[in-house]
Amino acid sequence: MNYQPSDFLPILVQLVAALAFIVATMLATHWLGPKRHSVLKDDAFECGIESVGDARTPISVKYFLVAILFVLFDVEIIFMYPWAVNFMGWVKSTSDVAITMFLEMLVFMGLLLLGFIYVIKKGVLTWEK
Amino acid sequence: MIPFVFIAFIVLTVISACVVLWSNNVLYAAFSLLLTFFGIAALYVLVGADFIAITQLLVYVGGILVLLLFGVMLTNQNGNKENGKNDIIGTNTNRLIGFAVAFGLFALLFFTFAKANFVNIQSNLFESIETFSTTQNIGVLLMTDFVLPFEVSGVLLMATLIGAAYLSSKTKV
Amino acid sequence: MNAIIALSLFGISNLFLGFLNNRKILLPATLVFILIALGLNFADWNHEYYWFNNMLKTNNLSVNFVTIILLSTFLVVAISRSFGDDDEHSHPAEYYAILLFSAVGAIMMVTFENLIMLFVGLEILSVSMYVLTGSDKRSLRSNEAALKYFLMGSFATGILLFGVALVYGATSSFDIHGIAQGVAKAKEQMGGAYGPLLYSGVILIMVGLLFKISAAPFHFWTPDVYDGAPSIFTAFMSTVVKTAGVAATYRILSISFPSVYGLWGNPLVYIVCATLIIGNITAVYQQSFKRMLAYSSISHAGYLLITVLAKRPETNSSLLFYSLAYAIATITAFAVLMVVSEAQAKNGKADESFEALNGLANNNPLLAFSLTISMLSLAGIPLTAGFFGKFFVFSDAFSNPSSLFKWILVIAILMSTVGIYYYFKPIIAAYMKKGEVAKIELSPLYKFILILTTTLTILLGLAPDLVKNIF
Repeated sequence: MNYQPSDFLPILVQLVAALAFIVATMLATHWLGPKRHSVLKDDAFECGIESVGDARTPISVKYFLVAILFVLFDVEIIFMYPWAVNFMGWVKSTSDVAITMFLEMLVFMGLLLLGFIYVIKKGVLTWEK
Repeated sequence: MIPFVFIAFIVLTVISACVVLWSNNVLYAAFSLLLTFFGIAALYVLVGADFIAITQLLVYVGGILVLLLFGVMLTNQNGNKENGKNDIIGTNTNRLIGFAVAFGLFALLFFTFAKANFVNIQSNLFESIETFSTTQNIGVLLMTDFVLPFEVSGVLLMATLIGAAYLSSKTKV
Repeated sequence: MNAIIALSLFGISNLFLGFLNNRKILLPATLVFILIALGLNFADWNHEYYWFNNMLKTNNLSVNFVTIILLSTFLVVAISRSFGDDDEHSHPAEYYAILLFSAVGAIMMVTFENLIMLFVGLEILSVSMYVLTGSDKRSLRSNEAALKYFLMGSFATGILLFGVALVYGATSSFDIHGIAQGVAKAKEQMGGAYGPLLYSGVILIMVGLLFKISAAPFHFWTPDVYDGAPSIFTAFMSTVVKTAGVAATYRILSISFPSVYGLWGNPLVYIVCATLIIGNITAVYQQSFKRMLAYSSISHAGYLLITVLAKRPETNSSLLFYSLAYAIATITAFAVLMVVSEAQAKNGKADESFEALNGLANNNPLLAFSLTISMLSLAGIPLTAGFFGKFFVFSDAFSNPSSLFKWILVIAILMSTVGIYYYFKPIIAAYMKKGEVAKIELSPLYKFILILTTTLTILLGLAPDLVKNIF
């Protein structure tokens, strides 16, 4: 199976589209929104109470655990990707080969799944105790 | 066309890497690291390492960077007193030693690659852009010849999972 | 090989045993697990066998190394005392499971046939050690040590990986025998010279591995990490990790690169001398017993590397004997350190200085005696195992025809005499200094381990041929 660098262009296009959407919506709200100026409206206006604390307080460490779990399973997906690309080929060749390959992946997944079961049973992911 | 794209991505990678180095604001550094990772992924595509490029995108751009930004959010700093913003500002210390180590490593690798005679090197670097996809071969090898490292890396990932869960789980102090 | 699979499964079962909420069951279970793995390991005795498409190779040498690693793990687990009774802050199920996983990594590092296995094994071992170093979450120093170890260790692993890639570029093989053939072929093509890829590759692999065994000038992390980590894991680090690291270094240098000896031999000469001098001289100035043991482990890495450098046929057995003698003595020393520092704790903090040992012999003759024997063995005094370890290492260096080894020997012997000075400090503190250590109650298992290791040290010192013939 051959490929050309240009086959990866969609990734770039998607990135540009994602960025462009943000920029476009931000600009559009500025331009499209009705603006009525008057002396009173533009006047400096102060009232209310002093803000307390900081908007950017440190968040719970539990989020970090979720992020770490995400990265770990991300790596697992990377291992599954080349396996999945080939799997239909193996199925078409002989069923013995396909079963062997399936079992190999099952062992790998099983190891991680056991770790995941441990994490859940341990209650690390429960938010409120 | 290809040389132009190649150089463009090199410039993107180098400039964003320099921003990572010189920016004192950790958040800016993290975001320009995103561009560095992305540029490197593009370079992998251009040299014909498509699987590594996907890995780079999925793990580094998608995973590691999220982790990094979470780290920034978790960091407790009471804001910058001078301008009232609460950016996380890093400081550079030991610049000289860091520079010396980095330069030494760079010099070592530069001369290694400059003097090496690679067996399968192409004389015209940008000529053949039709490249063989590596993903399928990697898949076959991973499941046959290299099945033991594959399974054992499952053990590695599990040990990491347990270690991470242990270290970041909350115990009452 | 079967030990790897068994230990991985045992590690998982250990995790789930933790849910029984019965911490008494974990210690005996883990000991039984290690003994089963040890039994499985002996099944490979007297077979040369390649596993999984040349990924691992077991022969008598690797079986011996695995035995030392599992024995050290067994002893460390046995002196762990279930990590106290504090359910809130210590989690024995996780600790034992991670210890078993790291033993898996260590076993892979002594049986690898393919550099990928070396890398994965090293990663399993390192990641486990990062976690265990920081396992005391309340201690700031433990956290600092874990972070330092993690940052520097992952950088070193990166350098190792770079070296592997460059060696692959030069020889187009990951297999350690394939690399040897590739090196010979490349040398032939280039008329006896070796290319820059191979040169940089070998150096970078060496840097990565020597970092793990804390040879100078890659030793800066060692004192802080060994000092900050909980003592029980320091004992594990300075025995199992060191044995596995030296075995891996020896394996790759002696099998893959014997034909380019000058390439790695010349830098290694300086590294060995620097390690011996820095490790021993700095150890003299330490006030803390634990930190002294950290520097002593640096210096022992130097002695072990002498025999790797000497490249004699006897290197196998010298390396095994030295590792065994060093591991047993170090674990004994840490066993004594742990109970004494806890008994002498001030303000809830364990006192690990030499002063804590003052007058130990009055009320605790067994502890003092074990400490003395282990210190004598580490110093290399005759009638202990350490003496013969040093003797075999030095005679390897002596029988190497190169005149360079005479100078290395001079430095090594000089530094051994320096070693005697600081190894006698704890002995003097225990017997001569005035002080009071209350009688420390030891569990039967703990007593048994102390007596066992002390007897082994003396036995190997009286009759080294007992195991030397096996190795």
